[in-house]
Amino acid sequence: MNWYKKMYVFALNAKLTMGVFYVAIVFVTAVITLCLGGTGVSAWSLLSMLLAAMLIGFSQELLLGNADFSGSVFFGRSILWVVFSMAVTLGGALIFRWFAALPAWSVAVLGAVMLFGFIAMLVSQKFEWEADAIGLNRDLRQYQNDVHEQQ
Amino acid sequence: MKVRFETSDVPELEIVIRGADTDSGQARRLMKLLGSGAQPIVARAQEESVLLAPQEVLYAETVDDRLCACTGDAVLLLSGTLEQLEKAYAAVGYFRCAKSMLVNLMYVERLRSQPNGRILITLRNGEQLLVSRRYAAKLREKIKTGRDTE
Repeated sequence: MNWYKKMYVFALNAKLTMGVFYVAIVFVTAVITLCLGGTGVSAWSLLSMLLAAMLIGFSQELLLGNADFSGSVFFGRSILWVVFSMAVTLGGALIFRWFAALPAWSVAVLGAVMLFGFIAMLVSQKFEWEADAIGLNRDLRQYQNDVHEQQ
Repeated sequence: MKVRFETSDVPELEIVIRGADTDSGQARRLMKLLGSGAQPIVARAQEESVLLAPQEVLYAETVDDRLCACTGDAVLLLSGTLEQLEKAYAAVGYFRCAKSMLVNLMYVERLRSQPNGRILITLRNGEQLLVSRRYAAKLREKIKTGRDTE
């Protein structure tokens, strides 16, 4: 496959997770802001959140997209990705002042919720692959039995 | 090894393998080959031709334009192409898992889902093969319906 096609597929996969993370960051930030008496999230904050979601989504595809799920590679890369994503989330909140008029601990609340979300996403992905593997192996045994009987 | 044909009144064709060591590799290979009913695969090993039962091959691979078959304890050279091998033995479990590789699905111990729709194949001898998303979709189709997709 040509490199530009590979890049296209890479971006296609990354943009899906990027969109999910963007919605999550905006939603959690909006809820915290409303709960603490804030009035809204600025356009500048929304743009910087998009940048943060882009970094998180692309790094996920880069680190976990081709990782071998069966080995320790996936576990190691998962930790690396979670640490990087947390750094981007907390860094973005502090640098771009997503909670400008609110207490400093609101950044910690966002971090805690996002950390839970990142871990939950990895765990759900693991469950999904495990369920898929069960179906695959069931079909494989059936196929092997069918071929064996035909012989 | 002597090969002898006898005519008798027995209605069904009977094959007897007789010898001092019927548990030898040669005898076992013959039994496998005869029992399968499938066309044997002709391989080359050190200047001599060897007949392989399709069930003996774990996977076949094209390396430097040479077609090789791995039987678990040996790697043998085959004549022909990967496409010909795939067409001839698809019904007995041969599956194209990569551009230059065929795997015998009858020797697959387990399959495992991987990120991006790929599948990790673990063979009974412990070797692992990674199937790309493109071939993984065909593998899913093959083991589900028994049919090969183009």
